[in-house]
Amino acid sequence: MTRTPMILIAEDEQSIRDCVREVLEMEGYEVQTAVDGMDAWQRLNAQGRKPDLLITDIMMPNMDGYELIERIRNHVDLKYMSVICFTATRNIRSRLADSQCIHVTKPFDLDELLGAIESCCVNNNKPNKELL
Amino acid sequence: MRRNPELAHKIASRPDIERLRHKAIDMLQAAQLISVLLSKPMDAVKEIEVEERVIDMLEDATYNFRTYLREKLKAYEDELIRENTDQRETIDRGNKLIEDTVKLGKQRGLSHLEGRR
Repeated sequence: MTRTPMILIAEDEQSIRDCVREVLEMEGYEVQTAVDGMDAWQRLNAQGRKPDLLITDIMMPNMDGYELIERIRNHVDLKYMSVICFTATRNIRSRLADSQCIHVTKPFDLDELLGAIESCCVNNNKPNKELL
Repeated sequence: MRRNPELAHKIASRPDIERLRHKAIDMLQAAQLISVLLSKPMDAVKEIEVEERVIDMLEDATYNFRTYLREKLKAYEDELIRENTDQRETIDRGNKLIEDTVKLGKQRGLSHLEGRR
């Protein structure tokens, strides 16, 4: 039996956070939300099941997406986590060139986001299948 | 009115203008997502639930954006007032300096300085 993928959304804009959560729940994903990078980092380090995928904005208060991604990539248990980041400018893309993230440009089309999520979840399942 | 590209670039690269641009993109993004959300097929109970939530989201988003813009405009206004005050003080100091110089000139009998006023 395959488990439902869990997605963590880090986005400071409440309307986007709520809408994306709503849509992803409709699509059958399990969703957690965080109001900024710091909140996301605390959730990633909390006890219990870790999310399979992080969707994060870059411009956020307290801790921005750059720092959050850097911490994830330097963390022993989280460094291979799939990350999709919302970007709005080319500068952001070039700064995250080596971060192994999928970039989705705002304002994005929902199908584009769903396609990116699907490809991440398929890739995440590969190692598990090989172990069986 | 002719655009000044240098000034336009200077204004556009200000961090607060950049943040404002991101905020506007976020609003556009939220509107797009809400529109997609409402177009999804769902049962009547779910539809009412989602619509209610979407209305709340829209109200919150509009309120937040308005508040944000108001705060920004107030900050710009304060900045302009501060800049104008600084300029006014500089002009006043300059005028005072000229007056003092002329007075001093008169006292010393150098009346030709008055012509510079």
